[in-house]
Amino acid sequence: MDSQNVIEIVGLKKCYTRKEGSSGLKDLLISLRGRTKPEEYWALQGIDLTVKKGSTLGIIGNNGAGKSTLLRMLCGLGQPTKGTIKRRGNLACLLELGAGFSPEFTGRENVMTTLLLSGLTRSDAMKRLPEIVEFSEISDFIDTAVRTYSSGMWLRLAFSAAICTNPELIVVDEVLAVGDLRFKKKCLDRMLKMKEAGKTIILVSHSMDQIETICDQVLWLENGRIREYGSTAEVVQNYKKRAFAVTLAPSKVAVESSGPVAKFREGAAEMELTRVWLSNEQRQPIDAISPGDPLNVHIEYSPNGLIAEPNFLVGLYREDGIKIYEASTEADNVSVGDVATNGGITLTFSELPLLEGYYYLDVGIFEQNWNRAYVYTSRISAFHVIGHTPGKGVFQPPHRWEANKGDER
Amino acid sequence: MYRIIHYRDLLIDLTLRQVKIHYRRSVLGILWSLLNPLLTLVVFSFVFQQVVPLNIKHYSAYVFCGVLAWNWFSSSITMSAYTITFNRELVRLPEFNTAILVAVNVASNMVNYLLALPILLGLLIIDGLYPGWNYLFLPLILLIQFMFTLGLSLIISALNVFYRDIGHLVSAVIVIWFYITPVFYRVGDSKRGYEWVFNINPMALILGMYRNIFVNTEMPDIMTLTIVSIVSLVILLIGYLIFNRLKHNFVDEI
Repeated sequence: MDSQNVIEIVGLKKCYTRKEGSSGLKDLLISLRGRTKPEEYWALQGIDLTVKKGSTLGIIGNNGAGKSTLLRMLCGLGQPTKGTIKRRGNLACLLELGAGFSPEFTGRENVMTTLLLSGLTRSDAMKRLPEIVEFSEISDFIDTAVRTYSSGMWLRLAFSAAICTNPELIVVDEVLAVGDLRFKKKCLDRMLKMKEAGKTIILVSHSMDQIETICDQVLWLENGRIREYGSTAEVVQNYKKRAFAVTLAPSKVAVESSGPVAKFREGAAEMELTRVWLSNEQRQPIDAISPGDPLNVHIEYSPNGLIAEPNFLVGLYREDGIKIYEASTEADNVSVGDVATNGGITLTFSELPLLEGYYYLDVGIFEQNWNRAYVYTSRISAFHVIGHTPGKGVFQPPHRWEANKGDER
Repeated sequence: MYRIIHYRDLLIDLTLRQVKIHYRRSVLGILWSLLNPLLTLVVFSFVFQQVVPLNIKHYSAYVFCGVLAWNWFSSSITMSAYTITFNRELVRLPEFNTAILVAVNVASNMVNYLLALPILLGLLIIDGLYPGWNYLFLPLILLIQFMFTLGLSLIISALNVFYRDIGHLVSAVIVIWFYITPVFYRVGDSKRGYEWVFNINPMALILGMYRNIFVNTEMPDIMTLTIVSIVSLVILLIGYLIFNRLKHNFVDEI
């Protein structure tokens, strides 16, 4: 094993056999006669991975992608069906925090046992205890049975006990998802400190913010295989695009902005929408923007005969159906005039301060007096907004703060 | 060396925990562990002195001596089936040697034995049987019983992970085993031709040695001592080998 590496995984495969009912002698007898064939589930289907000392690796992927299985394997829980795992250095696994705690015992007793279980001797554990109690911030209750603890206290103590053992390699599964904000930040800071101290951290999280804060590299798992492995910025961005696209796919949205016009449409069909596409400032077709970027919506149509002064309408919706804005030529006092031949019209949003997410557009062409639609197609086009915005909500209005602390004479 | 101290500390901590958890928040607390053997003692004394007299000298001490050792053995064995399956959280800890859990189970039952020992000594002294230098053999016999029990426990606990029938099977076997072990009767009272049952039963031999020390105030038979030591050691080794073969698959099974 290379001395620079903390983890070396070669061709790792993990198969779980799902047995019907309980395991027992009956099953053994039956299987000896070769009748049953247990159902197999390949949680990991060939993983090769080396983790260098001091690196911080995030593992992302949808539910069932194999993240937790991989993490468990890393911690030595369960045997690889195929392949090998090599690991160096002492390890702290923050997988099932506080699972070993016994409610009847005090916080101090439980921490003591946890430390002993993690491989320390009693005298070493005693030395660590004060730091753990301090970090957990529950020193007033440390000699109370943990059954009286709130879930937050329980977790804080468990996290403190796990992280204060001075490990070389820390494996964290989603644990920062709980606890109050302030303690969460404290844990995060602690992990960053450990990162600076050259520890190796492996983190599974659904929070891209956490991943981006802590990790240098990201491993994207999909269906038990590595889909991408590289720098955090790159992989996270690709993952986001993909994740948003997958969420909408079942509703048959035309995901590609330059793709064919979506099929579910209404209208009398005096006019057809031949193509709707999106572009950036340079008029290059795009399917994703950053918050605050400009966006052009190009609508190309073909009329069946002469159409007198049609109204164009573009509705902008968020993924969950919230209408962000609806623009129409009439409302904006724009006249297209009579239309007889194929043509196009472009709507330009000079800036779209939308928050990260997935958005779609409805496009319609209506009779002059809005009596009826010539054509109206919902979800004809869609795009992502990718990028971090500091606030929360639907959109980000330009804003600033100004503090007035009374007269400063 | 560090590992050995670590294992020692862990074993002590988990054993005390196991003992404490049984009695925490109960009024009588640890006294409960004495109540069970005392009740057994009362029943046996009544039945086999008054109802069906067996004419065994110092019967109370004789029977209590057997009951204590047998209780340690049988509760350890019966509970051993569930030491792995009921400790899912601990088994799933990384780098945790699960064999410790099995040892903890045997050790915590031994604590109950040791706690009841003063009562046995009391019974002996009432009957005029005073402790002597032969008590030096006691730790050795405790160790032998520990090894024997641990060896069997390792096998049972590991197998029960894969075949949950083992736990039920063991409970049934222990009941039969109780009757072929001279806990409340004497080997010499059995019909001729059945001595072999007791000679191949390590628990019968171990109980015999306890009685050598406590009731007969004599040294245990060196020949028996040697044979039982070897048998226990072999059982422990076999148990550990089987356990080690199977333990890697525990996490996937529970």
